[in-house]
Amino acid sequence: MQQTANDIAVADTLAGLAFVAENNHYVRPSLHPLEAPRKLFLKDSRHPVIEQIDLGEVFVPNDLDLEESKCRIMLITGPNMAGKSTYMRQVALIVLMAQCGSFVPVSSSEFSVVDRIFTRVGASDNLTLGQSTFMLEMNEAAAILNNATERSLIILDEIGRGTSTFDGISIAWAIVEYIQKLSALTLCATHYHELTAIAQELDSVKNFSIRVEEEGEKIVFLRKIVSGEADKSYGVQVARLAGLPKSVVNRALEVMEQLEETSMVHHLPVLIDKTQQKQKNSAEVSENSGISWGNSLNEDQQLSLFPEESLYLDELRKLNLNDMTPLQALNYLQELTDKLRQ
Amino acid sequence: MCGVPYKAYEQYLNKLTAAGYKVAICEQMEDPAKAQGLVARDVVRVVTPGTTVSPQLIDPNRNHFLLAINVVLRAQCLGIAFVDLSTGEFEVAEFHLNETHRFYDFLAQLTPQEILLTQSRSEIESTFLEELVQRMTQLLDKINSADARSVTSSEQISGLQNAQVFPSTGRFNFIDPYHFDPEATQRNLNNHFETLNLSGFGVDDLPHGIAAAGALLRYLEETQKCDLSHLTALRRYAFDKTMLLDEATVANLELFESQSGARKHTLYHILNHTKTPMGARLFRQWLRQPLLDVEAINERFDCIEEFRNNFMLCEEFRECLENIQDLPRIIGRITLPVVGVNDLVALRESLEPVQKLPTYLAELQAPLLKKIAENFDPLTDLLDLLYQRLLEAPSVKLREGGFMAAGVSEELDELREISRNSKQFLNKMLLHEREITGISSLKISYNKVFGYYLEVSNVHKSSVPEHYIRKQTLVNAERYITAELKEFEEKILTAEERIGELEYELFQQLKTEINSNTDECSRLQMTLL
Repeated sequence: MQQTANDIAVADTLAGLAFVAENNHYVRPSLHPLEAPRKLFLKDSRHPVIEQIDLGEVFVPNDLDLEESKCRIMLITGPNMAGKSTYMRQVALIVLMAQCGSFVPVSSSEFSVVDRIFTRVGASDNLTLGQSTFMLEMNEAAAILNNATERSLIILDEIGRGTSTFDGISIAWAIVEYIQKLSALTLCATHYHELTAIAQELDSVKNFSIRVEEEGEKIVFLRKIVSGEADKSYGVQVARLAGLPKSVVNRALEVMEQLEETSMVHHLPVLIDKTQQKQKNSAEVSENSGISWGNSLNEDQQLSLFPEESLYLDELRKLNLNDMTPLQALNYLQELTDKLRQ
Repeated sequence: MCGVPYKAYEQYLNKLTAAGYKVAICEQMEDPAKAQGLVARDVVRVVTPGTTVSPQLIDPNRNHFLLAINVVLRAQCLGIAFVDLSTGEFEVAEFHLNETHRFYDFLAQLTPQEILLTQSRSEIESTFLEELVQRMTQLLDKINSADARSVTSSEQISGLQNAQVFPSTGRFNFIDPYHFDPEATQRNLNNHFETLNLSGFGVDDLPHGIAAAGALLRYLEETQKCDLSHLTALRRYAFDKTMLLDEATVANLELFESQSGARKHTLYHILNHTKTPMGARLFRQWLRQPLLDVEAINERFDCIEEFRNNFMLCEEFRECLENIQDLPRIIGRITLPVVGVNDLVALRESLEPVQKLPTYLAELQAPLLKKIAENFDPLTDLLDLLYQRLLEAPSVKLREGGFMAAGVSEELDELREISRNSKQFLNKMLLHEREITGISSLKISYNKVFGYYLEVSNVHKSSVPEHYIRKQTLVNAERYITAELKEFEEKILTAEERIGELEYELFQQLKTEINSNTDECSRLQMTLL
């Protein structure tokens, strides 16, 4: 009797999966064994849960192509809300679904079986247990680094977010390097643009971003993953979408502008030889900017875009902060901002 | 200690079990009417959070596990065994102490309702146990609070109350270390499975797990005090063939519960289109334990592909499944004292559509489905047996009768005939008596003192046959009884009562027959494996 019940359960489950495959237009993935060269290729992949929820927005399918010998770590930058987390979760879910025996929401796919899936996504706060977000985040990260093998799939979303910027970047940087040595296929999202520089150091790390278009001060999320790092974070625009009071948003735009002017160095694809050097630089720049942005803020200022700024790029590139005193740096910044404001 | 009305005891029992208590059920062991002196009483069953099989307390879409952990510090090992009493799943595993994270991942996956642990024998052991219990409590509390969240939100939607979340009281049970004794547990398991050794189960290399299984079995025997024959085999928990998902990942990917607590927006909800509760449980297991072996995954893919290519067939097949109820749990209940007529009715109703399944399965070629089709037993004999024994629309009151079919027992048929036709029967007897005595004014009447009697007027006194026994003399008549009349009276008066008793007996017989059937099936299954 138990056997009959068991047989029915198996047939029921399989028929149910066939039903959902037909209804939701899933496709049979082509799988390689655990021992085969690691590969993860998805064409037009969708998020199985979100595509079923009507959000008044067409779900934009995305591709993925990771391969052991070419690109193992995908570093994704892009504004909050653009869909980084969705994209990374959907990749993990698709791999999981396939290994459960289900067809998957893609137009075609080919990948090798993974031994484990690790995720470190968002802040699932655990305040009841008295752990801080950052502690929890680091616990999860530790569990991943200690247990992952080269056959694992790792999803890291905003690693190092729970602490100060420079701590966060340093930790994220070190983790990416560690995983690169571990050689597991990894998707890593970050809003630290500084991290994109790691792609120039490590061959197996490639930069990607989610496309966003700007229409005046507004932004449009295109939800499309493209190769190359994001230009900026659009955090303030997202804040506007979230319904922050207009005066706050405007003020934020002004402050940001000041900051961008003074610490443009961050956003430029500078080739950095040593991480240490880089951190030192950015630390100083931000110190300086801390002095400068209290000075003058014009109420009716428009958001400045890149063309003007690019005039001063070469000048900034040549600048060696180590040879300057704080006063010199400050004066230089003053000069620069004056020029820019003209 | 308290007494509750027998008829409503389940309600009280459920409440107490849900509050995390262990409930010992005590019954009178003999008929109080027949007993001399004090009526013997005994504990007939102990219900605990992990051993309840009440449908009100267990979620049909999930397993309900009781876990035993055998801590063996000198071997640096945790031997574990778990059982779902409602379905008969019984498995063992071992974890090395340097891979405790795997153990916790496993625990999060299992989410047992009750855990058996050994009482500590040394200081090191007690420190270890303390830490173990603390971490398990943390983990399970976390999962339960997520569950509770999703229960409340799903309740709002459906108004249904499922998935009882048991409180942490009563979750841990510390039992005497000798319950885990390797030799005694082996013996106990061999006795239960009627095997010489446990090699046939492929668990020889898990001695500490086996000891835990033995302790678990003993605990069940001591609490359930009944036949546990639906625990037919011990299996090795195959965690090396499946992917262990850590709790963070399960939560992050929103497999079963979304961060907001709603069940609707989860992968399980989107993908689960099973029609039966056992299907839903299996699918949950599949999702919680993804495979690592490409061959095995492709086997499943082949089936899905074939079903999809024959989508009409797939739809008909699924429609057919819709009427099949929770077979493993019904079967589980049949071996336990809690079984009722409604369980057998549910079994019969469920087996009806099962008869059609082979036709569908025969059309499918995918290896996994073909294997099922070849060995599929639609349990036709059992269905026939249930039709033969149970009425078309039976009453479900076990003690009052009204469910066994006609033709099962001559005595029962006769009793029913009697109770149904008592008037006609008396008339028939009256006519018969008038004929043999020639007394045309003979009457059959009833009073409370003598019961049924024959009344003869004084005119015909002389014609009264010898076997009439005089009971009362009136002014103008005599009242008599006969052996036949008394026998009949007995039958009429006690018929209803006797019907109840007899049907109960016949029910127990039927239950035993079905169970011996299970035994055969599972033994056959064992030899095939």
